[in-house]
Amino acid sequence: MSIEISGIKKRFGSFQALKGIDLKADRNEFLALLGPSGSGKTTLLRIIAGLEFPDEGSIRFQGEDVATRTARDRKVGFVFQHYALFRHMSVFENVAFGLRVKPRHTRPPEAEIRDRVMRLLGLVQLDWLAERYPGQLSGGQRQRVALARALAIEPEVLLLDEPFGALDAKVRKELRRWLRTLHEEMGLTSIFVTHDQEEALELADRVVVMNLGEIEQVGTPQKIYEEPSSPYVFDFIGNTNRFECRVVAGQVEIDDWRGPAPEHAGVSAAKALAYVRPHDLFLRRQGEGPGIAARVRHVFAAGPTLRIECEGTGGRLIEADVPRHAWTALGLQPGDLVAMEPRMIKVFVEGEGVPGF
Amino acid sequence: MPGSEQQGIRALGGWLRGPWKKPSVLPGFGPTLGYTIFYLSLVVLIPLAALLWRPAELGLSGMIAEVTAPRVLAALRLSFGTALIAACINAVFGLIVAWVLVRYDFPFKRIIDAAVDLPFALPTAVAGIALTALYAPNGWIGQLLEPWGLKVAFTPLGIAVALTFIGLPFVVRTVEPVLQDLDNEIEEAAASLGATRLQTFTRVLLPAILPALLTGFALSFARAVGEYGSVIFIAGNMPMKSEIAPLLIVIKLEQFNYAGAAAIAVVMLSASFAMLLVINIIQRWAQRWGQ
Repeated sequence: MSIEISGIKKRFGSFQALKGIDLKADRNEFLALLGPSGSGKTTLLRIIAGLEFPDEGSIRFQGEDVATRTARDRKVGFVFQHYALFRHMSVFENVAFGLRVKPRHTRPPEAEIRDRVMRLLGLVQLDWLAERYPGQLSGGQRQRVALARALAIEPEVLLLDEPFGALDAKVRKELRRWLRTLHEEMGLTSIFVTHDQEEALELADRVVVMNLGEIEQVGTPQKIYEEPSSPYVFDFIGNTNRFECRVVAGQVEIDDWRGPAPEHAGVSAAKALAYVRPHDLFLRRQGEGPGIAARVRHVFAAGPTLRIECEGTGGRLIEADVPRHAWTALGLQPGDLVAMEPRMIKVFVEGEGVPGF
Repeated sequence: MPGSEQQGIRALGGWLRGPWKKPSVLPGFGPTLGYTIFYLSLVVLIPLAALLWRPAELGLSGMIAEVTAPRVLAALRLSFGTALIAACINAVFGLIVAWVLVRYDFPFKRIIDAAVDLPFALPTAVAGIALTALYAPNGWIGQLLEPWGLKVAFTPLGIAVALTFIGLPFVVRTVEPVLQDLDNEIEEAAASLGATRLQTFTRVLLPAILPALLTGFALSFARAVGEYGSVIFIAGNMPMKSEIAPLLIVIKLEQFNYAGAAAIAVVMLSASFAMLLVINIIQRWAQRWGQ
């Protein structure tokens, strides 16, 4: 089922939670709403589910307006951040709940309920815990029960609020892969909320970056990572070095280093922000070529690339990722002076209407 | 071997401390348990033992004769019957009061919240006199009910009213914190799974608050069974009709029939204990998911 959202606004008292959201999720798409707390992502998710109602705007499922339908009538699977399992019901009864509350004429017979619930529990690999109560399960198991419960009503849309927030790293990774498979197998349209950029980039077909009740950028994980559209997205996605700098006559100036900024050719002189990913910084000994002057402070040597922490002019921290062999060839030690040359740089000039300045 | 000897001593020490005592960061199991037993003995167990001792001088047949007298049976029936009715009323309306106080915001909420505790604080005699004045045939409410043929004061109905009054806070105050702890999300979860409001209440909310509601019911009931002060004013105290068991005990005491009074007390005590036990068992069952 496709979901179309247009012009959604929502206010809580004096707080404008959503300031006009337009978004479309295609059928069978996996969408991530990414943003810090207070960005409105959970509110948006709850509005799609019918748990909250917008002040303005429309929501369409498959072209059909559902704005006035309550959660009960939208038939949307919703997984809550803290699972919201019914503590007094066994795992089996939790999953069966959505089937048992159906009106009599559409309620499946007991034997079929049993079959379907056990099949769902098998799907989430918890059939052996059917008689336990939620209080006796681990976090990861509860999460999967919540998921099975949401899927029991056979929704075409699955909404997840911080689905892996409360789990430890290893379980999280496992569940992520598993959720992706499930999404594909069941032909769902899924939207999940997260503040973890790694999760969003790994799992989703498209990522929606939100900030202060607005959408900053929508795009595939690759597009979001490689071409962030604003300083805000750059700050939020991936590791990055941020330089307060100047653009003079179409060139960007960071300390003594100058580089091309062709997209700002018309700017004669302005303050600007430049972003460089750590792996886009090329290191060499000072005096051997151009680059931003800095001094090596720490070397973190875990993993295939080394993270080099340097101190630039005025105590500014600059991080660079250097392949292991390249670092060995350089033969640098902490305390040595280096020139760091940006190979890819994104410059935002002040006062060009770029949000997040 | 010194090593195995030490191990033996440690094992003996562990055995002496008993299997019920688990290692804990807070010391003081011994003194606190000792104090608890001493205190309970002084305040509860010794008086209760005396209570059992006293009617024994009547002999078993004398005791049975004493408590099966028609007037005593009528009084016991009245006491437990009205207490049960009052506790049931309180369970329903106390739940509603607690619900409103937890769920909604409205003007004077704090005052109403405080008013719930009034039956705790008010001397029961004051409550009894006030209720009597209201419900008497010439009272504010009584005169409205009179044309309908409804007499409240000086009838068992009046006793139930008084017992409802004094038992209300027990239900409200036990249910309130549990309602407060209930996560809004579980209702939203129920709704998103397609449950109607009624289904959400009966299948999701009620089972969650049932244990607390039963506690409130039990407390309200226990209090009502023993209530004396507020009832004697509104009851009319006619033997066989509106005379409660605690009053009968007082009458027997005034006639220096200590053994007879104690015999009725023993019956009340056993009945109350049995009922509270049953409620506790139901409560265990209602809370089986918590273990």
